[in-house]
Amino acid sequence: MEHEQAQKLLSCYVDKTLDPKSTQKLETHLEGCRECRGDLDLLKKTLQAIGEIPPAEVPSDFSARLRRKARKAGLFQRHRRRSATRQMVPIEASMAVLLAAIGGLVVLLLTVYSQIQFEAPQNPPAVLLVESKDQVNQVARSAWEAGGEVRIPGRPAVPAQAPLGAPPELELHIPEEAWPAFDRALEKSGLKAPGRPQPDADGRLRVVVQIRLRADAPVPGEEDPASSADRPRNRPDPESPPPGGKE
Amino acid sequence: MLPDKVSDSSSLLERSLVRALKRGDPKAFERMVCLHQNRVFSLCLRMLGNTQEAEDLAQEVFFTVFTSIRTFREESLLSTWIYRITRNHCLNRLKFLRRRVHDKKQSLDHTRPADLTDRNARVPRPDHLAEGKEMEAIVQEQINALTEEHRELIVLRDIEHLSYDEIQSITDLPGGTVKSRLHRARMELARRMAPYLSDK
Repeated sequence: MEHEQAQKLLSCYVDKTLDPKSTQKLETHLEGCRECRGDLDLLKKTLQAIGEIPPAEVPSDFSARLRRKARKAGLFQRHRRRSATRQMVPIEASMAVLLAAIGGLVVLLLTVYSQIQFEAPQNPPAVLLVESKDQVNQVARSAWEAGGEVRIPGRPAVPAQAPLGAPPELELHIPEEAWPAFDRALEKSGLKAPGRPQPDADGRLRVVVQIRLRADAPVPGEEDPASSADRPRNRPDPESPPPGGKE
Repeated sequence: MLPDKVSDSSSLLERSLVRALKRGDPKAFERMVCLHQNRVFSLCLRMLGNTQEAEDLAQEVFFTVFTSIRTFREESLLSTWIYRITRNHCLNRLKFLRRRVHDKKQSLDHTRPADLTDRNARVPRPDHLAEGKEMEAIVQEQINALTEEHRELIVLRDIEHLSYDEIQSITDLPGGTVKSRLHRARMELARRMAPYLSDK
């Protein structure tokens, strides 16, 4: 074994971590190398001197002083706060988000429900089909005479005898007790009354009047020869839509 | 079978301690300090060579362990992890002290009136060597004179008697590097110790 290589192995030799083959080679080298024997001896003495150092003794009050210092520095409180925050991220934060979402949903539902509650629950209305503008007017007049209301969907009630224009649909609200009168008025006009609907919570019967003008019926906004015959020419037609076609 | 059982049981105890530490349990902190204070303090003392510095640093080590225990992934023993933190703290403190001493144009040894090397401010003659404390002071002084990378290996292996595997884990050095560097450190220390050991 080379001297340089032997020098490098001295430490492992002392530690007894050399493999048997290397150990044998080194021991052979040591027998003939005074320098390596001297180094080995010095190394052993050094390690022996280190080994004789007594274990360091921690000061007897180390633990107590550390505890005091930890409390004074708020170590445990800080740690708990941090732990709580970190633990909240996966569990409690998710719960908080979930609760907020549920809360929001509940508020939304309550809002919608409250809006629904303000409107009286409705039964299906009766449906009356009319085919001309005249019939529309007759239906409306019948409703007004019976004490009911005439509405164009999405608008306030039309005042009695006011022009209706040419709405696609009307809604009639007939008081329950006035239904026979409304029924009779319709029959008198030659219209077939619809079946009596169930009254709503406010005691009114609803009739939806769907207007399906026939091809030969007068077009809304145009002069109806039948109705204009007994009306002065210079008087505006109360049933024609206002300028612009809007009401 | 017995060693396995003992190992399993100590592993269970350690896991339980780590869990309690992660919960921030003050009693677990005390238990951890009780279990590791001697070795942490010893490592600090041998690395720094000063009792007061070692005590202060050991306290910092335990604070760090407690506040960063959540980052401990339990891939090594708790003791190895604590040693790694201790070693890093020691190296940082040595850098700080070296800077401070350098700024004051003083040697590190002269700034420690009450430390282990204090008794060796005078160089004792080999024939005046006493046993025990005096030799301890000489060894410590010569260890202090080593470079930090040599010093830490002498302390971990020859004073704390850690295995090569543990040393690798603590220092992040490859096994071959640990062995070759330790050899150089030992030979350097032996050369320094030679005047005091020649008549032994």
